[in-house]
Amino acid sequence: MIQSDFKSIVIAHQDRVYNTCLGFLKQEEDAEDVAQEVFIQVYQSYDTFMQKSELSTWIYKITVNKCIEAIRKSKAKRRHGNAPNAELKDDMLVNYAHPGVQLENKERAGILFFAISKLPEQQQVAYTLSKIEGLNYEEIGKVMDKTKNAVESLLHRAKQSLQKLLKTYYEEA
Amino acid sequence: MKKHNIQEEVDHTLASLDHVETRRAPVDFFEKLERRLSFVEASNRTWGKKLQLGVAAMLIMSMLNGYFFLTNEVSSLQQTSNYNDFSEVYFDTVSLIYYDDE
Repeated sequence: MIQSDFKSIVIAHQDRVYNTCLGFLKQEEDAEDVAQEVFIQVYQSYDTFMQKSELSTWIYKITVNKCIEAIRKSKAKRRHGNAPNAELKDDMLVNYAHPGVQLENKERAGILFFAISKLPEQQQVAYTLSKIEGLNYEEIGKVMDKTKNAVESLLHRAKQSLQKLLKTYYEEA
Repeated sequence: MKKHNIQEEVDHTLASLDHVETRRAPVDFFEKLERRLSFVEASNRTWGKKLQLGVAAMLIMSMLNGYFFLTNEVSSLQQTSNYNDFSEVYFDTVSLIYYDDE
């Protein structure tokens, strides 16, 4: 891949990739690290990209996969560390603080991010892409290789699960 | 907490991500990426070289193995024919001892 081509691809997509990573990982450092991994993968696999889909969709797919990988790794680390649930709740506002959330919503957003992290992976991806990235059903479908109806159903189930999780959280509070 | 209040809290919480501000990548993002990429490429090259060396070593080992196996087979054949020669000569020249029981 030619260096100048790569630079123009990075500059055109870096904000979107970084923002998506931030939506999934919430931490600026982690988001930057994973965003860099995304572009390294783009650089290494560009020759195999056969332009079956749009370049931006392909980069988006890589981004989502890398974020899921990072989430899995951090979950595994936490499991290894045997962090008790109470401690997790205390750390919630630090670990689930997206820097783009308005100050007055920080606490609620922390609780919501925590609830999102408890959703099944597919629902988590669909909800994050819809709510934080503002993608429509069709765009989410392209990224996740799913039909519009499948995305709709995933989002419906995600909202129902979140309602339940949040109700339980507030009942226990 | 009352049921009504709980539902209100849930609705407010669900709406808390409605206006998340879009963040831009850090200013030096590309420079950092370039540095990391050159590091990754250098380590890939090192691994590539190590892999090539490993394959070459394995080839040499298997060739040596084959050579020793074949030479060993030839010498064992020679040894067998020596034994045959010896037994023929031995049994041709040896005189049988008869023990007379009487």
